[in-house]
Amino acid sequence: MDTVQAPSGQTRDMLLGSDAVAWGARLCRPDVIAAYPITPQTHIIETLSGMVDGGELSSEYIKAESEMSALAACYGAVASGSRSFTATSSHGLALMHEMLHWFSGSRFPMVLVNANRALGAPWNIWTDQGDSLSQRDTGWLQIYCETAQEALDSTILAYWVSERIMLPVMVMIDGFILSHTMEQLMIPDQERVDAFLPRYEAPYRLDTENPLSFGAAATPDNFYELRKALAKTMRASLRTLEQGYADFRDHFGRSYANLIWDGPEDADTVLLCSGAVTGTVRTALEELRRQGHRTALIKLRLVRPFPRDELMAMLSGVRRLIVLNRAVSFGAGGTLTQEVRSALFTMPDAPAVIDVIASLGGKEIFPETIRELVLEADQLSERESNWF
Amino acid sequence: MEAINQECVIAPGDLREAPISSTTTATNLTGSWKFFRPEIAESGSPCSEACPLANDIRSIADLVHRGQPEEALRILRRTNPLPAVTGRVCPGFCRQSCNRAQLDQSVLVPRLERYLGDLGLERPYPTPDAMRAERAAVIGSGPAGISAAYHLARQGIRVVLYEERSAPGGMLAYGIPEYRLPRAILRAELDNLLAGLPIELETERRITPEQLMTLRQEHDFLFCGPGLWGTSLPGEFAGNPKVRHGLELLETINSGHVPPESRFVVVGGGNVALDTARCLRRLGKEASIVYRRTRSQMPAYAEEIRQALDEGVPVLEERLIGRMEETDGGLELRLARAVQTDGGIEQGEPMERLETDIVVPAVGQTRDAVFPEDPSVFLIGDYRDGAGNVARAMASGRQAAERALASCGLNTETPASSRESENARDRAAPWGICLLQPETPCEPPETPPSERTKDFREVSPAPDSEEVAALASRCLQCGRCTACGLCWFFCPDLAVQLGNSPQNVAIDASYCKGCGICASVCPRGVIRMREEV
Repeated sequence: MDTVQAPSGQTRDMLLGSDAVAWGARLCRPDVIAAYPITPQTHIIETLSGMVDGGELSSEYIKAESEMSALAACYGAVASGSRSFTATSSHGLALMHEMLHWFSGSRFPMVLVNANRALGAPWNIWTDQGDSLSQRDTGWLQIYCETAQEALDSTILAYWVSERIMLPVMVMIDGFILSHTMEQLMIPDQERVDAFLPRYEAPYRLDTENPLSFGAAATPDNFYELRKALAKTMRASLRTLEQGYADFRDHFGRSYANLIWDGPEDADTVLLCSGAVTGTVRTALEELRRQGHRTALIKLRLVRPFPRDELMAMLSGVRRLIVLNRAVSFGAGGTLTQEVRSALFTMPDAPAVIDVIASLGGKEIFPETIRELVLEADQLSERESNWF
Repeated sequence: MEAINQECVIAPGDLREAPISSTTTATNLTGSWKFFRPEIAESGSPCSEACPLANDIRSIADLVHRGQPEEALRILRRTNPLPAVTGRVCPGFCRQSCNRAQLDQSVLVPRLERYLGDLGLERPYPTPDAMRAERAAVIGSGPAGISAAYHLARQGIRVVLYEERSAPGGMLAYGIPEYRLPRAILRAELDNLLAGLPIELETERRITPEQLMTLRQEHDFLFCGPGLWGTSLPGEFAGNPKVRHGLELLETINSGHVPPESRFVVVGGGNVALDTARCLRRLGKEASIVYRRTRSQMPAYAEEIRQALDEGVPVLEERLIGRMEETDGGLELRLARAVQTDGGIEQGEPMERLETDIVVPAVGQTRDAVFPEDPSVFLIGDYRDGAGNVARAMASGRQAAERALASCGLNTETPASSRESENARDRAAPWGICLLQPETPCEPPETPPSERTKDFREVSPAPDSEEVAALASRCLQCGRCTACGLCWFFCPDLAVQLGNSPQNVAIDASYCKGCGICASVCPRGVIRMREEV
């Protein structure tokens, strides 16, 4: 890696995942940052507050008294036409729940980075996707990152998408595994980012010269129409994302997608996962392939909107799909599995979808674990959730 | 039906599909949701409720603040005949319940009253519009008697005021020391009052109990307020020439006599005990106080206790006189620990020995003459109620006068007086006071103890117009809307209509949701929530 030359307009550095997010946010020049600290995302806002304090970043930094207040302050900022940023985790995201709805319902662009962490009880600070997946119905786009580079890039991309579709975007990194480990990455220069992401021009904002009221009472028919428009935009945002990936590649040279297939085209057993565990799965499957097994992995980056049609196209000819879950909906099974099964319901010759509760509250997933899963896949239940 | 899928294209119009309204929301009559309705209504103020005289303190403060002290004096004289006196001697019951204390410091109303009282020394009292046929007699020219005579005379009833001593004022003249109430001020205020009203003062006229009913028959109304001047001593002291009752010694000093002895031990913790010790100190005598309970349990006014300590009066707490022995020059007191028990006070282990010339028990006042009880004679003042304070005595005189006036069909317009001050103190101050800006507290100026104990000058110099203007502006006007606008500021429904005067503050019922925020933020407690029926 140290022999790789930084592309022009970018600087190579070694950063914590949380600092990579802070850099991503900084390069987007948010007008207002309002946040409340919580492990394991505290580094993000700590680094940003240091940047503001040091004069490197000219944002208004608001130390809120709770996550609910932090996001409410961001709401006010966006209502007045500003670009805003916050980061949180776990209980903090849960406390933001009501404001999450207000952002999407108001059609306000926003970027929130969530460091995935379990919710108590019992108390647990380790990675777990239960916090963000339990917010999947709030009308926010959800992007899950594998690496610190991806987290930095996704933060910039998130603003690009959000301000085009007027819906908020949540970017997820694994608590500790990404937030607290260092990685060599590229930091784009400010001019590059400015060229990719121009200043936010709000189509509507609080203005005493042109008074408007936001989110006031709507009649039932009116409400239905507004929600229909939201649903339509959410589905259509898949195209906006595609445009975003292309534009991003043109500016920075790195490619992203909603779903990424990794492995031979004729794989018959496929593992689907999201987040930092993808790296572990990739390593394990590479060894299995050397031993002659036809396996591949699907890295799911986008959970909302769910890329159903892309997934169906990718799974054509696949016999078995093992879904690795880091979150569970009690009484129904792994949360991602439900998403996948629902997406594949109308697919002819759909693969058998096997639900594996791979990890909760930071329980380790080793390469051996993955290899055993594939080797003993015949013994896994196709009806019930599979727990270790 | 319309299927939404990912082939949808976002049109620019879709991005405008946000819940935004550019028209007025006035069509949404949120007032229809409410279960509670705010009402703006004036109510009493805690200071007036605590004042035995029910002085209209907030109006007085407001008038002084607006630069109308003459009008303030007129309002004050409706309830208080002698503001120059009470402005000096009243401990300020109003201050104990003043809501402003929750913010920074209670309003120094006694200073304001003293200023207006001194102003009034130069302003004649209004004469009655017409004289009436009824006649009244008042026994005793102390605060109760003066007050009764004043309220009768204002309505045109001729009053004869009988005083057994050579000067009027009763306890004001003979009980309260010069440094708390200069004789010249007392005399000037009484002269002014008597000059403008049909009151005939007869000094050195002692009315005996036997003469009472004759006097009653000669007058339509008779008021009896001879005070409590009985100074009987506890058994162990009776007949001892080296023992003098505090009140009797105080009366002697206040009459201009200096006792020849030089060492005094005063026993007691009331105002008489403190006054006696402080007077002796000013006469260059040695005086210490022995009290059987703790200093904080003393019934004397807190200010008096503090000033006495500042002046270097030694206070021996939780002591009683265990034994008293005659020595060559005077007395030797053997003090003992006073142990407080459920049943009272018991003598504990022996404590200090004190050498003294005179022991001054300042404990208990009684009636020195007992008048026959007759329902047609109005009893007033300490004689009726037991030892109290000047304001309470004045209130009892006024209440009796008002009953007499009512029997002639004269309804006075003065506010109801003398509610129990305890009730007012129990009421919580409005929460909204915490929204106001606190100011730096200020205590009235005092002459340094080393200076003021050289003679009988007043402890505090006279307030000037600047001081009273500042302190009057501190009055919050509790219970009365001042159009301060806090309700307007906090109302989430913009339902408060704020004009430039209290009369123009209103709540628009069409949009008021009844949340009650206005009522909770009002620092004057003027807004109350009533259930909608």
